[in-house]
Amino acid sequence: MKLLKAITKSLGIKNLKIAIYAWLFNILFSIIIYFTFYKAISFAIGKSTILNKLGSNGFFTCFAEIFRNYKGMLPTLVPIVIFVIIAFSIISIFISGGIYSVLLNKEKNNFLNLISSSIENFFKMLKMFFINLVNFAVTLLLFLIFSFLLFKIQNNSPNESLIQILFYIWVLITIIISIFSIAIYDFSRILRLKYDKNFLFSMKRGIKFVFSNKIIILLMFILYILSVIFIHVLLSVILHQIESLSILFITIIAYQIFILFKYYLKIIIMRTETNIID
Amino acid sequence: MKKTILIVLLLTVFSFYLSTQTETIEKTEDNSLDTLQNNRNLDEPIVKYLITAQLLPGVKKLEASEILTWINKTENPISNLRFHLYYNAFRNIKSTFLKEAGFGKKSKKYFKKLQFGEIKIKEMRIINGEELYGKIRYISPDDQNEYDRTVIEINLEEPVQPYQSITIKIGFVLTIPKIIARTGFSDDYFFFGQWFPKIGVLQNDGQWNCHQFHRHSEFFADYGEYKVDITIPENFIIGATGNLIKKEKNVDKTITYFYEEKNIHDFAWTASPEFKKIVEKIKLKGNDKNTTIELFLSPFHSGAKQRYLNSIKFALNFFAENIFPYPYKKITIVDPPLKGMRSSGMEYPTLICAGYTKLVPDSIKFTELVTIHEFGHQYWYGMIGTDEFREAWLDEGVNTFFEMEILDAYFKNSSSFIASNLININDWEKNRLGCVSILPVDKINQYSWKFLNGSYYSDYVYSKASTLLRSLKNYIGKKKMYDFFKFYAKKFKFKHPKTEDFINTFNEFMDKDFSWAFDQFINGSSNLDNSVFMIESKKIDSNPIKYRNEAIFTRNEGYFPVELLIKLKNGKHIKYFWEEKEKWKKIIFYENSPIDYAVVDPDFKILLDKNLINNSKILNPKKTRLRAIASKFGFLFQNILSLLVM
Repeated sequence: MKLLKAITKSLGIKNLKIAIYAWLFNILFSIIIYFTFYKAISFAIGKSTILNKLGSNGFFTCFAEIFRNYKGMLPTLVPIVIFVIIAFSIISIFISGGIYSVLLNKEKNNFLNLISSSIENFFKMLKMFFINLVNFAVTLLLFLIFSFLLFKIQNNSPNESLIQILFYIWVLITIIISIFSIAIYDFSRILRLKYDKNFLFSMKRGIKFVFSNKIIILLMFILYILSVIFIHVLLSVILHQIESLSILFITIIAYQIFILFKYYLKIIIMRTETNIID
Repeated sequence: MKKTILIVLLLTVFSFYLSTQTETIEKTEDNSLDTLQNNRNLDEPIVKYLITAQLLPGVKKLEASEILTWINKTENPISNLRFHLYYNAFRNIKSTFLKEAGFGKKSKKYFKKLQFGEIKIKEMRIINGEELYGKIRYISPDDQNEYDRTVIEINLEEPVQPYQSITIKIGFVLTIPKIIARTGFSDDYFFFGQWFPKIGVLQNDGQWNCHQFHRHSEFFADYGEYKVDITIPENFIIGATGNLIKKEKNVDKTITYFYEEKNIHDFAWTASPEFKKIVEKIKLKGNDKNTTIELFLSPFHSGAKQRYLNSIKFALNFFAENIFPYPYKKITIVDPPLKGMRSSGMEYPTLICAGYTKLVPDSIKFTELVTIHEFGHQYWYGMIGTDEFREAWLDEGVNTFFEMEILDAYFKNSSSFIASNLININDWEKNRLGCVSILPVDKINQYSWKFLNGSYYSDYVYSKASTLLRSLKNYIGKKKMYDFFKFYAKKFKFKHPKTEDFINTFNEFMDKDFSWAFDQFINGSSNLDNSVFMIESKKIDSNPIKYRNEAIFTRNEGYFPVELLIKLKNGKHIKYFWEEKEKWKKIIFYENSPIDYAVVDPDFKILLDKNLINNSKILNPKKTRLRAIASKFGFLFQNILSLLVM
């Protein structure tokens, strides 16, 4: 009931502006990768007609050719990709601080407020991230212990059905462990912003809150995951049709709508989290 | 007078006697010739094996004896015999096989899970003749590895004369290893390949072809007759080479199965209490009687049944249609359990060990690929008995060519190796990638263990050889290629052709010299790379419009006749078939339109070409497709970024 209320309050067009705010940073960084790949493939293929020749049958061969003949590009490409990922991870801390702050304080969600909140709360959020490294480390440890145990069980078993079932159990438990870890991270940040107490206090309260509301938290995230999967599948089918039209401009627009929708779902969850805390 | 008559009489009788003796001697001489001719055993198989074996699953041993009759079908008397004892490859890590497999570098923890095995000769003698046991001498003709025990030599007191036979009794015991490769046990699953003392092949020059067991070699033996009886516990289910003649229940709760087959050069079998046996029959075009398919499924593999049966039937029909119908009464498919997968992917006469696991998604066509490939070996190696030690490409390369052909036909509407939403790969693409990724440091036609490493052995023998054959097929036409193989197979059925036989037959059939292909790519190390070096269009007149168009094509590596295509902006195509052996070709022509692009091998027939990117050049590239691909990459990356914590 509590969860339903929180979700219902979170829905609506009001999330769109915030989603666009997040999407803008995403596209800014992705453009770097787009141009990097464009230049790299352009350099490799140059004036060859290979892409047109092989088409969809032989696509693997096409990319195998590029990779084999131009793998010297990788030492240049890989650092760029890694840099972009790290930089965006830091930026996402920046963005999330602003979004949570606006949601908690029920401020107007215009870009000005979002940016100023992001700037104001960046270092708080960065510190919360570092403190949560302990949370992530414990999660990783639990994951490794659990994986090791499951591996031991299935390793000596000739029962392939059992191995399959164990694999699905492994996936499920990994998802559950990850959900709690992310929930602790999210709620510790929200509590830090809400109560402006010290970081350890926020962390402890976050852990307590999550484990006091285990079912709600689990349901909320599972609902989110299912929604993302559903949207993925639905939009992938639509995207596939649009790609086949071979009109680049429309295809790129479709890609961006896809990404925006994913951020929209994320904002709903973030808003739901703040509603639950309230 | 009386005395004279008596003397004359005596002389007459004596003369008569002498003449009859002479006649007899002459007759004996004639008889010796006849005897020799009759004893040339020309119609008899070179080898006859009569093997009796008992499996003791509790102690992981096999007790057996073998009576081998071998005929020296050469013009040379032979005073020594050589045998393979392949099973000793798994004796310890000092064997050539395990050394080459890198077992010397593995950790102690790894060895705790292993159980080695071996074959021990208990007795060896010529029937009604010489005792041989004390004369057994281990030799290592390939690498002089004193610890390798996979070849023995026995010197005989009396040589085996040309066309004479010798019958030897050998008693032996196997300690069965946990499956490391191909043979052994895993829990209650047993697979026996290369499990009995096997005589080498005596060549016409009097030399033995009897190599050690290498990691990357397979086998070579004479065609012969096999009669094998195997005793196993009554709860075990058995599958074997050949035809089951009868079975007998014994008082000790075992059953003895009697198998026979002719015109084969090996015998393999498997047993497990957990097999599910499925039998189906198929009528092949050209055969009077049905062929039996026996499938031995492991537990949890019911999902594989139709995959196995459908692919084997397709392959049987394919070969019946295009080569000749499978002549044996039965084909056996063994589906190993997960823990026995190291025995998978191997061929034996009338029996194949395929492979399936629930843990690999159905979008990866592994089961169909391995079934079709191993069945194809019934022809290339099985009935066309090439030397897998020295000329492995003649079975693996040829068979992989047919594997690609059959998989293409079988998976008409999807990719033939991986067909999923994420990625699609055809079998020919996989093999081409292996072919073009290697350095030109080895030759396809060389001894199996002499390649740079195991990967190079596979890439040369399987991938490059099959890719060459596929390129040749595209060049000469599919029908002609298939007709050649039909001709070649019929010519060398139950014989041992060599590379030179293959090449000579190919040239003879095509009525054209294809040495350029075989010299470069089979007997040489050459790679192939054609390219468009340059294209240029210059406007030289405006009224009427006239362009001077120039295109230069180069053979950077190797030679293969190839099509050239120049497309003009007005849509016109100019084609040229470049057969001359020059290293570059310049084409200059005048048209009312400039060049749009030029391509070497526009239909991508010559898959050997190691770089497809330089096969074409476009004067003014349109960036649309490139932008679309880069956008897709960008989009995938955006997805990854959107998953990062926010």
